[in-house]
Amino acid sequence: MQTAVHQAGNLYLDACAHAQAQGLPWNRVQNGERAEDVRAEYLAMSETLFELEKRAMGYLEQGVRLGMG
Amino acid sequence: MTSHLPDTPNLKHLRHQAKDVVKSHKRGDATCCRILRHLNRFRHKADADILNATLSLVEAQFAIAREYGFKGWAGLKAHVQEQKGSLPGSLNMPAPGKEPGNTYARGMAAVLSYLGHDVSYEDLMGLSGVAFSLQIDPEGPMNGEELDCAWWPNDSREFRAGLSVVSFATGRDLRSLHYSWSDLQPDPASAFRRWMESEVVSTLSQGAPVLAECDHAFVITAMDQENPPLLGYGTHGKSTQFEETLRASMYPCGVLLPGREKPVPSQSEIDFHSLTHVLNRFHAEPAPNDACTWLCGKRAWEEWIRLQKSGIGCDNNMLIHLRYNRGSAAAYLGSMA
Repeated sequence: MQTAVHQAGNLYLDACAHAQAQGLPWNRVQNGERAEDVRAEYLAMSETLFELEKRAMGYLEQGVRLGMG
Repeated sequence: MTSHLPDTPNLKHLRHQAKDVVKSHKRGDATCCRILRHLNRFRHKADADILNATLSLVEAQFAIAREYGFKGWAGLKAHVQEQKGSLPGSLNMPAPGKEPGNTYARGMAAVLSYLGHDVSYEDLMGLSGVAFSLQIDPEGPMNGEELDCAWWPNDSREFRAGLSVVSFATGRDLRSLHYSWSDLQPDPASAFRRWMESEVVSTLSQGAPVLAECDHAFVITAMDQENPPLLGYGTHGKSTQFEETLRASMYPCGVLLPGREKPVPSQSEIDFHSLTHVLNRFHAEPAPNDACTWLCGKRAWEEWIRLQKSGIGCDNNMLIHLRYNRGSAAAYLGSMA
């Protein structure tokens, strides 16, 4: 169980890094960046986070199964 | 026949009650006659005679005082002011941490710590499932051209969903009284008095602070007679950082009430229970015919990405929440592994 939980934890660390990698979208646009570019990068980040999250949940499911055994 | 005063009588409410008697009398509503027979001049009069007579506010106040078993308004007023001094509260509880984050986890960490539980903010983020949550309200308000899909009513929702896990893990009964904002209209003050006040008073009297659901969490440590009567620790405006003692800026739509202690399970039982909750929330489907528009877990992710592709949902709030939450998820799993 510990290994699976550890793997999930690492994926959440990756998720944090992605979430911190770009500024807040409204602020970026206010600071002069093109809204289209900001939206595209924000969407790409969201999709990446969702993929990481699905993988992390897979590890947590594995951890719970092992914990039950 | 007399009536009983509530446990926490409020002079303002009693004045309103007297004004209501005057209004009823003015419009010829005979329901006021029973109370007005506390006045000597009306004692043996028929309803019609009472309603045809003149009535002053002072007389109505006198009748209200007699209704509650007092000799007159002055006696009632003195009693209420005496009671005010003995209202429960003024718990000498340290303020929640000032770091930004989810105010429900931060507030509850302070409440549980005050009650003797060794539980951190990160623990509560993980146990409640908030650390792993992404919530979305497709019917949130518009912020300029963007949908504020992660607006503040979402904050308490996931915390409440995980309250039973927090209770299980900490060995403290935790109960939620929650109402929709529409339930509280048109008079949130009356709704609070009717549905929540006695529970809050009782909990404070037993020495436990209460977490209220306002725009952010508000830790109630004392009550008084003002509006709203809730004193404690809260946040200002959009800030998620707790401030020193202040008055709640609004009446709450719910309260989280600590109760009795119970046995604490083993760490492996807690971990299993907690992760099962996280997985259940991730795979949760909206209930059929559920009027609620909020989504969580996988469905929330899909909806958020769909909204962005349709041109809305590129929102500051969502990213701010994700940063708080996923930072806590990594810390929580790190301590578990």
